[in-house]
Amino acid sequence: MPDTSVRALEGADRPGWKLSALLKKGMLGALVIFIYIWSAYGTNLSVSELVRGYPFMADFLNRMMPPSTANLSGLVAPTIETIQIAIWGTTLAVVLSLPLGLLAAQNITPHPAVYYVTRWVLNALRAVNDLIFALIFVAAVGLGPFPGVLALGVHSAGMLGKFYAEAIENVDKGTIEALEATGAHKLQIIRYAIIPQIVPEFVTYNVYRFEHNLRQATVLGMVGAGGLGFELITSMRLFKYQDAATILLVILLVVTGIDHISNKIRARLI
Amino acid sequence: MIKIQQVSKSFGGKVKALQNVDLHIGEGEFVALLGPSGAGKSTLLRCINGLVRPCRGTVEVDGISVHSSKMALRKVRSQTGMIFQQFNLVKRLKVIDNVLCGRLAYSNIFTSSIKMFPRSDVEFALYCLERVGLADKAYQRADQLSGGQQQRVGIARALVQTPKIILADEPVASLDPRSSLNVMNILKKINQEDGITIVVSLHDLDLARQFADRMVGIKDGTVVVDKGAKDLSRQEIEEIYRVGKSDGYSADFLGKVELVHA
Repeated sequence: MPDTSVRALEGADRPGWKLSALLKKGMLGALVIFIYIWSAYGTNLSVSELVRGYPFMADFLNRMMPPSTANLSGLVAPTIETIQIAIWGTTLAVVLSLPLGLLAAQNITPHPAVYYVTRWVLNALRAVNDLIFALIFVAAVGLGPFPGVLALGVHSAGMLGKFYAEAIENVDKGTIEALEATGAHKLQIIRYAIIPQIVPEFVTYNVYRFEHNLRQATVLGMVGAGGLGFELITSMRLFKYQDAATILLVILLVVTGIDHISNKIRARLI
Repeated sequence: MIKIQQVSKSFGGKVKALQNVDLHIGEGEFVALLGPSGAGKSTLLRCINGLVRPCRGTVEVDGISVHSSKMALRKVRSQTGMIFQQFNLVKRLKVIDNVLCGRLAYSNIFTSSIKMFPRSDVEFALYCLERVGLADKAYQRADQLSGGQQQRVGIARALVQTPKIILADEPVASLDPRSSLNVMNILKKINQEDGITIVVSLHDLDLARQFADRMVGIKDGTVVVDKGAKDLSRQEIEEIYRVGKSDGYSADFLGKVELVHA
């Protein structure tokens, strides 16, 4: 008797190779292939262009060699500025996204309407790229690193706010209930049940965001928002490719250096 | 002390968790709620401190109608301790901070949010930890403690509220037998020494018999038995736990599991 029921259970688990399922898979595959080919046409994807362009690329790289050392001393200030933009951009983002994250978390938002509005705001902030924000802020507050800080702060707030909200939603419901049961005020529940539980995520996201903002800060200068990007675009426009190569190397050095440091910070804090 | 009158609660319209429950619990009683899982024990406990709002009926605690206003709700909650099956401590906080959470309703919102508590509160929290035998663990992180120890911190968190009532939702269901006995002994002691009313949901009948003065059997959201602990007959107990028609599926399922294992 037991044998038959075991066999019946096994049979129920076996995937059925039905014709309709096969057809579905085939159609899905065809659709994916179509989308790739269609997008290749849309983007002028071409191997022959790549091959034909090769000498020009080689020429370009050739002109970069050897990287010049003449402009190195002039790069110190913009490099520091780039890091400073990332520091303040990230800090501004954290300050902006803390309240947004709290309001956008389903389990503690004061009202569903508030939840939807903040989610929409966060989506909008994320949808607009930081370079576009930089263009807007350059127009508003003028050239220099400050519009860069604002751009990174506002765009990153959209990203961090969403992450915070998700971390808050994943907090153990039991502890929130336990504190509710003591008669604690909502702000006290946030302070004692939610904040301690999201600290590891909070640190990780912020450090990741700082790394990202540092990389972004190296290109903000292209739209006039300070940092190394301005030096890069200037030397390219003046055909000083050897200077450009040096700037690229400096960027590489700074970004990998900061990545290394932030990995250490993350490992220590969690 | 607790007056539950004609309380009904349903979740999502369909599932009836409680149906016309009447229950009066006097000051200083030690009451065990018995019943199979899903019978409505947790829901009933949560109606008492307003974590669940009944669809119909009234709940009164110490003369205050629990669901009448926000003020009333906070007042009742501040005087009612609750302990949970999963302890529900904030794991990343120190034990003493978890206990002090029980003082939040009595504290200033702003000073408490920078972890500033009056010295008297901190001393009282340490005293409560001492009563549950954990004074030496006060400055460890809560997640470093064993299950039984965490539950005792849960009791200290309730004690520090200077409650009139302690509600316990399956407090020993996640513990080994020895820790279970320890926790139940502490609850009994609190009941006897402080005169705190205790309502505890249990599924372990022997524990209930050993510690409770009164047993309330709940089945399908209604009170089916309500007697002194000594007066409950085996037949009545079986009645509480008898598998009804609605549980036919789970019985069938259990049968199948056994077959597969054979």
